[in-house]
Amino acid sequence: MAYQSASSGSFWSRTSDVGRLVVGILLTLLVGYAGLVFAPTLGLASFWPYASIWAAIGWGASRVSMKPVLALIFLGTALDLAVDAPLGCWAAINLIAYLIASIFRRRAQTDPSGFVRFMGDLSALLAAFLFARWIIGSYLGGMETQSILGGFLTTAILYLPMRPLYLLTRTERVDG
Amino acid sequence: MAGLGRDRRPGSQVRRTGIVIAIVIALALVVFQTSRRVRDTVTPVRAGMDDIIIQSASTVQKPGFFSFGDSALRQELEALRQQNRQLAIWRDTATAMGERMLRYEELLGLDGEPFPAGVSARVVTETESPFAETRLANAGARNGIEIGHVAVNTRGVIGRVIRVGNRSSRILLVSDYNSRVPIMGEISGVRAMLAGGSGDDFGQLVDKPERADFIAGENLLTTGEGNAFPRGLRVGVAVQRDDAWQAQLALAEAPLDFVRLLPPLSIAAPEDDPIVPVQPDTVASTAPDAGDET
Repeated sequence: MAYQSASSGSFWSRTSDVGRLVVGILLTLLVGYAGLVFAPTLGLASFWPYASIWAAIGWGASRVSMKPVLALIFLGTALDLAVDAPLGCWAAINLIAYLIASIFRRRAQTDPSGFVRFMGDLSALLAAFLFARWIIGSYLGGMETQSILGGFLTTAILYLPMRPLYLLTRTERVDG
Repeated sequence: MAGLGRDRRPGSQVRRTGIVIAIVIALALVVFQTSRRVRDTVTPVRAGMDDIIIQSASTVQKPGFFSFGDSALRQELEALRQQNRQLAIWRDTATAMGERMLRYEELLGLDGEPFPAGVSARVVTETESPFAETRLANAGARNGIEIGHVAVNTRGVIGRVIRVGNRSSRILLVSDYNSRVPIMGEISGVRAMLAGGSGDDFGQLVDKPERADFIAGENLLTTGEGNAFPRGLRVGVAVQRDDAWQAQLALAEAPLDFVRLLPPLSIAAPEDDPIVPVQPDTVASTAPDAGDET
């Protein structure tokens, strides 16, 4: 199943958990920065993906640990500062996605079809979207769903190719 | 799916509890920031972040950073474009001043408003989020920019400065949900409040004190009421959409790459600008003789 395909390349498979976490953080910051600087010029601002959601789901599906949690809080705070959101908003959204993804983690380890993992990732993404819609709408006293829908759709579409870069574990058991 | 979430190892459960607590704390933090006073405490950090983004974006967006070819020709072209945009700004300024002069001629004795000196800046990046439709410009406190400066592009008003860093300023666009601009029709003279939140191209016209209608296609100018915007700056064109008058924003008529930031020309309230008391001796020597009048 294509969804189960893990990252290839011996270097990446030998990279430690911390190394993968650092790569994930840098990649997320890079995508976020490009979204701030280049996406408006290209007219893609409304469809630019929320890279921190990739990190939250990918890391949540790998291992429940406090290091990714701290990294997600950091990434969320950076995004809050960059887009003028109240502090804590995107950190909370990231952590919701991480928590939901982690709930499916153990079952996904023993599911050879990859269906549970797929449902876990999908549920985490949906939960993040609904939570974002709720928290932003509550804070602003109303919002149009379209303003975040494009970004979340792109996040969902691009998650598939980006997923291997956000897996923290080196064991094939989690990757299927 | 019976096993979902039933990770009974103590360490894992503690970590999950920690995550839930972190989410609750983050939510509480968001709730606290509904208070303006709490939100303002973070403003210096946000201004610092704006500075960082501006600095780095200015570097990577420089001509030749990612491209190859005749950089001298490209730079000359860019300089000419910049000059052209600035001239267009002056043209619109002259139009606005003409309208204002006409009013002054009708209202003899009205104190004139000096034309504001401004600073040209480049819009380096933008923030497209549900929270704020803003742009970051590469001029800040070092260039004399202050909160409240009005941003105009080649077609008219695009917004006003809401935050200033050392080398950057954040412009809240007139299309933002929270933006309100007092405007009037150039021909009809009908006044209204331009409210954002209807996308980048259009703004709502609310709080009309007059019953009269706008004239379709007429320019909408700032009235200067509320001391936030100078009088006579173009903000768009009156159009009728869905049986309601709306403003087709000048914001969407030209690229938002260069802007001019103008001081708001605020007029101080009487209590903030008291009359300096005159010494009795001076009064006696300058006042007209009371006996002559009686």
